[in-house]
Amino acid sequence: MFANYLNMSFRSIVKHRLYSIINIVGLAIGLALSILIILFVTHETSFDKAVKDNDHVYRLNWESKTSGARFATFFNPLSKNIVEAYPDDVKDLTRITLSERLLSIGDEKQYQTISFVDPNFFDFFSYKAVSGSASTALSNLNNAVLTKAAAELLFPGEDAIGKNFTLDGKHDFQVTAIVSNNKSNSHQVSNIFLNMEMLPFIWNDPTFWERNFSDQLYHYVRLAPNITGDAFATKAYDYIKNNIGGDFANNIAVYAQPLNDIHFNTELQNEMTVKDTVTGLSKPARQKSDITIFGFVALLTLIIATFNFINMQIAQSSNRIKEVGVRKVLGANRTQIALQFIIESTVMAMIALVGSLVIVEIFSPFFGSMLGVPLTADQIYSGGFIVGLILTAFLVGILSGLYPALFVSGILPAKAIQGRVFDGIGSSKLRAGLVILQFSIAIGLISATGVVNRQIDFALNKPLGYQPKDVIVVRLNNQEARDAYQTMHDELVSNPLVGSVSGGSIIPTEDLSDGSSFQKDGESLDFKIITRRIGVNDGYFDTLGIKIIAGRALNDNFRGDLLPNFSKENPTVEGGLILNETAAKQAGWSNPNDAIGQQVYSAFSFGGTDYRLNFNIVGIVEDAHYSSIRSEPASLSFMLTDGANVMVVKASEGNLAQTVKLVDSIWQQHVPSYPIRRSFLEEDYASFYAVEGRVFRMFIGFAGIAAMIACIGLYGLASFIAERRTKEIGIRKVLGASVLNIVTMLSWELSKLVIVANFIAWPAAWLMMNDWLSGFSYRIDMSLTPYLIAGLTAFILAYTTTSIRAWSAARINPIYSLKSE
Amino acid sequence: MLKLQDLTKAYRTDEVETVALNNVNIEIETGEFVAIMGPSGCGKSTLLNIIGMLDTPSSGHYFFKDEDVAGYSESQLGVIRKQHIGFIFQSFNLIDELTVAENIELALLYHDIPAAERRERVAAVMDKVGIAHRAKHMPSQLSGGQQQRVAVARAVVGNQSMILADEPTGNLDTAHGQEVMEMLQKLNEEGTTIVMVTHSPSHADYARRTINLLDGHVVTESMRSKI
Repeated sequence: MFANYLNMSFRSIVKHRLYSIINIVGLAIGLALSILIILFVTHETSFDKAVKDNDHVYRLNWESKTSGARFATFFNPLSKNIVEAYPDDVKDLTRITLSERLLSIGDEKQYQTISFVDPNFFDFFSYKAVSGSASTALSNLNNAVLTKAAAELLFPGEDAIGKNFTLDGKHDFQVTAIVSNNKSNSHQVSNIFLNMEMLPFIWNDPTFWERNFSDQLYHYVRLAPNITGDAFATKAYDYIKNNIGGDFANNIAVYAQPLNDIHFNTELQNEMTVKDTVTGLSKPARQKSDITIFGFVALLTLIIATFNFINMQIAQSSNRIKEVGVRKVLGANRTQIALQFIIESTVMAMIALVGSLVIVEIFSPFFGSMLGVPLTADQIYSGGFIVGLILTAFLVGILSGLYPALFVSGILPAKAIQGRVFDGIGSSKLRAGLVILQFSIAIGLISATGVVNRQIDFALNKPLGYQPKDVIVVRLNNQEARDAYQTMHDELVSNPLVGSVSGGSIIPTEDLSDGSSFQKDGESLDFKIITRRIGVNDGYFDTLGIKIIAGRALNDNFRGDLLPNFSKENPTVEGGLILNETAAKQAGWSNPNDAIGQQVYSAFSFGGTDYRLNFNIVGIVEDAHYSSIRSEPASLSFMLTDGANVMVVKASEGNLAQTVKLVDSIWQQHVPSYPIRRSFLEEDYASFYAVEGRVFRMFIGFAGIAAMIACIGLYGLASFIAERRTKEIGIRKVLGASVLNIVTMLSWELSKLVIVANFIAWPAAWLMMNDWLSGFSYRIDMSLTPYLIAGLTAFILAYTTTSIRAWSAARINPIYSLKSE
Repeated sequence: MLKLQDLTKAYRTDEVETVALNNVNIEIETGEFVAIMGPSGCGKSTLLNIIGMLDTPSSGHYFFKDEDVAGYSESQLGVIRKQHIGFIFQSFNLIDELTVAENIELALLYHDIPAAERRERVAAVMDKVGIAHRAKHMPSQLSGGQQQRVAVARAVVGNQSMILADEPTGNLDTAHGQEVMEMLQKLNEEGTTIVMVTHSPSHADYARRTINLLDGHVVTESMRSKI
């Protein structure tokens, strides 16, 4: 019996090829799209889940009450003391910091990111040993541990164990263990590991471990199951308050950031780099709302595809009434008929599922590379995923078979055998309902796409507040380079190829770190300008094209601009200060000119001495976007310094290529021990937003495909209606209707449903998009345009699709269409 | 075999009531071959549908083997129908997606008969109607006469005691029509009760009795004298 059902299903699928293909392809594409998105969403939401007890692992953060900034790092030596103070609460502690160093193997030199870790790091983060013993390797300070990827990169084709490399030309290390690569869904990007105790030597900083307030390490704790992160953070703060106290304790807050939050937190300063320089993989933090939106698109696509499928099955079932009649006459009961319909749609859904897996198999690498996430279809076949998919296909099959099963099986056999019962029954209302819903979702998606597209364009094209064009960025990543900065600067400036040269602690596209807050004599204590501090050299604003809107730039020629070094003996110093617009507004100077000449100060105590830094505000600059366009421009303060971490060189018009050569040769001359690390600000900027842009372009693509699926279904329905009305079309033609009359009549019938769909889609999409836009500080105003475009697009698509089908139906000679009855 | 008593069937639309059968009284004995004749719209097909339990009467009684089935539900009727009644239609009503053999087997499929026995019986009946060589063909590959033979085979494969034929020769040419009638006659001789609706007086002659319907009434009943 069952074999007969299956047999019948396959025969019927083949017999009604057009319907079957439309139906299976529509569902397969919809399923494939959903699977791809779910793969991506699963990948993102599974970040760091492979770590043992990940629910109990936290990273210690601190927050500066002065600047309001929260840092992903914590104080170098303090975590150990805190952990020792609460042995019952903390099961384990491990720390890491990443530092780019010059690595040489023989004569070959390259910059590599080196990770300095505690020896227990590998056990803590569940790395698997590939060779050697990672757990014990770092007990010797001259040993190194590599990931497989790093071993292959540094020692291609060889066994890396026992091989040596040198850092910064003076520290030798031997590879003694190799561990598994970082998972693509781990926030770790380290590949070359050394013992953290090497830091004072590498950084040439003998007192590194003695400074409680320095925060260069990431500290992870695995807590006992009975204590929450917040409770531990409170205890950690209590420890600091009781044991260190003073201004330090008053000015900070402590947080325990859940390990599973790291990938979704885009707000922290000093965040670990997300770029794995060995594998080239970037793991940017995602907004949870983006992931939710993607999940939503997956769901909607699946719903569209399912509705489509149900619609088609219902339409198709009316062609089967006569067959059902025959079966009933031959003794089939209602259950048997119903079962047959359900089995048929389930078989089709299963075929679609197989098709979708093929599509996923083919497209997952492309899709993954677009999203910057390595996706493989393998994940589908593991665990509950495939079971879930099969269940989904079953459910879709059963749901879509249910209506025809219940309705068609209930027709009296005497009527069924004449095959004429389907006219004017309630199912046309159900079908209309499904079409309306399907198109509501499609229109909703298209209009959402329009809004996303406009917002991304708006954000990417909004004025950045700086000019990245023709700016060469040179990292002063070693002492030799920092010492040579002034010499290089002077040589470059004197060359006509170069427009201007400057340097600073931070340039746009980099993380803001230090904070400063300012008060003013004669104002209440509430008056506070909280800023992120940037050290700049002469010509910084000019080189980066940051506009001065009041006053003047900081300048070496003004004696008072440079803030002298302060010390215990000299605790009160004075210098010039520049604020950005946001900072000036914070102070209440809505007209930037009001700020010029104002005196502010920054006061703090340290080691029993009260320091006071007095500043004379000399200028106000336009807001520039240092970090993501999603966030508000930060409130910034700029002070003149003579050192720099980064040098910026602006080539004069049309001379970029030659300027690059010039920069390279000057570097080689003055910093012979280190290769140059340079980039173009324009490219840095573009890559900063590349992923963001791409992710949303994908979103747009998805919505487009979903809309396409909706149209496939509409074509199927149009075919069905045209077929059902063959006789009517014939009669109308005999009575003098033109082809155009008939096409208009048939097309209008479906297209008007699409118009109705707009009224459902618009408000829903409007609400959702308004919510999404609220996550941007710079956002477009909502306008009707995307909705009108979406509605019009859907209408035109629907009208065209149905017209094409109606056209061929209307052109049939009435002799044939009337004969069919 | 069956007895219709004061049987009426009315179709009701919003405003008009159409009486298809009006106080019909008919008795058919087991083993009879009855032809039902009458002009289009006289209620022939409605009568056949009710006898075949494909439709239910509006009022009156329908005794099938002494059991009044007039008030039975569709599923109750279905059980009786599949045990006792086979159908042959003017338009054959074969399922296009199934082969000849599968179409015939369909009649056994709903009877809980093991697969092996089903195959045997299908093979036997195909031999009997002379279409065994077409077993694997699809209906669309057969001529009308061959299709109707498949339909006959399907009607009898379940050992039904009564066959209802609705203009079985209506879509066939004379020669093929003749063939089908002879097949029905042979079945009748073997003991199967046959009720046939037809327009053709010559085909009605195969029947022992002819019932003439007009506007839902039985107007005449005539017995064939020559046997």
